[in-house]
Amino acid sequence: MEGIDAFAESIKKAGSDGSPIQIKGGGTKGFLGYVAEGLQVLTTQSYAGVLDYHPAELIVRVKAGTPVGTLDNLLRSEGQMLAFDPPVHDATSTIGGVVSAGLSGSARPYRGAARDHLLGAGMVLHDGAYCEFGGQVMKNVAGYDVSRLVCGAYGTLGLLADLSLKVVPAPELEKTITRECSSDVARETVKLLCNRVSSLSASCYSGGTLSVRLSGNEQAVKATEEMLEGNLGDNAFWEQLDAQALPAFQNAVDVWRLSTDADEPLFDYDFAILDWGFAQRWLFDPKSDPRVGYAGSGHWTRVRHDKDRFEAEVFQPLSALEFALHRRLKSTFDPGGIFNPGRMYRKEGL
Amino acid sequence: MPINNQDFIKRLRAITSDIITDEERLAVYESDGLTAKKQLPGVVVIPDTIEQVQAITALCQSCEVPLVPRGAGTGLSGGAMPHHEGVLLVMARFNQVLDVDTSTRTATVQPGVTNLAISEAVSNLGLYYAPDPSSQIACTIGGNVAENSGGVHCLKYGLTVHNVKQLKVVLPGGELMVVGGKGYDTPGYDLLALMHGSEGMLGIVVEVIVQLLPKPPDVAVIMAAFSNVIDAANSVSGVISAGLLPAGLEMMDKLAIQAAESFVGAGYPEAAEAMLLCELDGSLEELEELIESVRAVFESNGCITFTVAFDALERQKLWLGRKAAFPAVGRIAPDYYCMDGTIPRRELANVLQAITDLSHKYELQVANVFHAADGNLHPLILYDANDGDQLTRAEAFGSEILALCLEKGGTITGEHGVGIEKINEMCLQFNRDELGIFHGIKNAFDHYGILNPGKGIPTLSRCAEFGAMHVHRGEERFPHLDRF
Repeated sequence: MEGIDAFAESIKKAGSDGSPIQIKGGGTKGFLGYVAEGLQVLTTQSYAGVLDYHPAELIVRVKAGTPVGTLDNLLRSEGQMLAFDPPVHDATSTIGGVVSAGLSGSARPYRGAARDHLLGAGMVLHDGAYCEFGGQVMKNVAGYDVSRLVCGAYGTLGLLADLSLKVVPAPELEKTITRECSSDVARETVKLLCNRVSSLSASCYSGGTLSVRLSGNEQAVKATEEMLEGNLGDNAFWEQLDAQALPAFQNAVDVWRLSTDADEPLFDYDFAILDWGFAQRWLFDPKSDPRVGYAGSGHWTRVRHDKDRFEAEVFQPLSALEFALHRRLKSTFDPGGIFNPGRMYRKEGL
Repeated sequence: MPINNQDFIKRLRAITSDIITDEERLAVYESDGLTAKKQLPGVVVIPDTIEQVQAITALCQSCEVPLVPRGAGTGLSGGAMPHHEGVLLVMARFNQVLDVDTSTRTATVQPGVTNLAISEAVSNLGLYYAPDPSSQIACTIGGNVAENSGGVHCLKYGLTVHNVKQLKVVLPGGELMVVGGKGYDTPGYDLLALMHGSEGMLGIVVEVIVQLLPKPPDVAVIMAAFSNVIDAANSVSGVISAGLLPAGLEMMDKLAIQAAESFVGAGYPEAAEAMLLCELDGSLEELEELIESVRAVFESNGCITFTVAFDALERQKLWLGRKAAFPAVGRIAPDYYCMDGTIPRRELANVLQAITDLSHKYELQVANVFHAADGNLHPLILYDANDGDQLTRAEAFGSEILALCLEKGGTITGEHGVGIEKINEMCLQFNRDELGIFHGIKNAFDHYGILNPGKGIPTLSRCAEFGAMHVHRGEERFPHLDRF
């Protein structure tokens, strides 16, 4: 037995044994969220491959265990791509993992998030039933939007078996431009580019340098490039940033992510990478607790926190009202609590 | 509690005096844009404040009285059709743009603000709100969220769900909850996405923060005529295959062209069997290149005329014909029934042909005007409600079109919602496990089932009555069980 039927059997058995499971793709996102010890592991890695791809439809339907790199190569061979820069932590990172964790890369503010490009999802539910939500068309409002709900749910609602994603034509040209400047100038520059139709597709400020990526046809890229008067950078920078492979990530013990309104004032952090036009802020070994100093409009996530990962909450806690609603949703999908228990909120079993 | 209970009305009146109970005035609200489905509401309430909405909702829950929210009532699937034993919550007074933040390019608006009013309010700042349903002059942003409305610019700029950052929602117990935020994500499950398209069944939207976009520097609208529908359909696929992403790409067939032309005089090619409107945006240099690419695709597919409009007034005139197509069709037949299915783009030519065949079978005319690039069909079935069984035939015709969309791998609704209209077809698209999840989600939000009951998600017994249930992978689950 293999594929969906095998998943269904394992899940039904886990339910009847009352023994929760950890859903695992390439296993490259163990640094996100809490992973309980001693769970049986259900891996999706062998469930890989493209189910349906008609480039003229701008849609690809793919099995969850497909490596992101494999999918990307296929799309690029047709002059297309996933618009949201799915992070590739290493060659084993799967598209199911990216969607389950709801991860989007540098292009997020300019081309949308993973969830924005998710059109449908096939799931194996707690009782082994295979269900399809959404579909393989651009517009679909039949039923509640379960596929987007599953995106970023860290596998706590069911096993994501296959997904249908919107793809876009790859830009003719992509260029990275860097420029030394103060954080104020950097923020104003990004804002200026955002407030006009431009070819901006990524922006990041760190260590006194603003890096932007421009995408589009030659004229459009050139027009923005001339305005910026910067130096030519390396496009590979963005993949490293998205994969958290830059030295700052690798050298820190304690990495925090703040997701906020881009206009939120900067705090006096020792060192930070300010991505997404200042809306995604990475902090490395901060001297003061970001949870204390931070009372802004956004939320925090502890990304790497080996020191006390089994004690602290990883994601910013929700309000009592939100938690109650989350628990009810969780028990709708997973009454026995067998899927990735506590991966998002340990105390709440979510 | 029965809706005409004097104690209930008294408690409602204590919250707001704006209550309608007399039949004459209730009749104004008897349907939304789906006029074939009518029902007098038990009582109409028109609140002014969020606190009143909270109190009304809590009261309805405690008395287990159905509550149906309503925006402008332009919905086409009967999502705002009133409940005879319930309260119709009219959000018309929530009509203010509260704040415009040019720094983050967002606007905070009340749910009763019309879609177009948002763009108008920020136009002088060089900004606009992208999703633009054809009813944008009247439909409200709250209703757009409830239906996850699309429009002619979806292909490039996305649906409502892609352009809303935050909602304030009143839950059935009366609690106020904020979903989403001014950043790009929030912790926990994506309730912001879940609220979109939930048809007022999970909560009542009382405030919306929308993302605004900078107006493109230059825009061109191409109008191209074709001597048959197949050529036009193939041109649509050709444009996408060529890696082009127009801001909008719409198709109209002969009947729709003629109806629109005689209604607004947009300068459409009345002799053509089909036409495409293709909007491109960007800098002038970009546009020149894009227009030539589109021209090459259209001409290789047999396009007979190709004109380009740059001037704002000319472009507006071209779009006016398209956006007025529904009322225009309304002028050539006593009644029309607007369908809304989505199919994979490659099936366009086949499905349009099949719709023509069905038109002969049911002996009813059909006009096609739709979002071609999204594969989102809007066949308008022409009928006369006063003539014998025409309405019944129109409904059967529509149902068959939706079944056809499903057969081709599509969906029964692209942007109009399920409402009351497509509740039976939901049984064709989803199996019992999937419907079970939908009911579970509804129950997680609205345990007493007071919000917009009977819409959106069919009960399993309704599906049994309809005589159809989606069967997945050719096998019925639990074959040993008796059917209901």
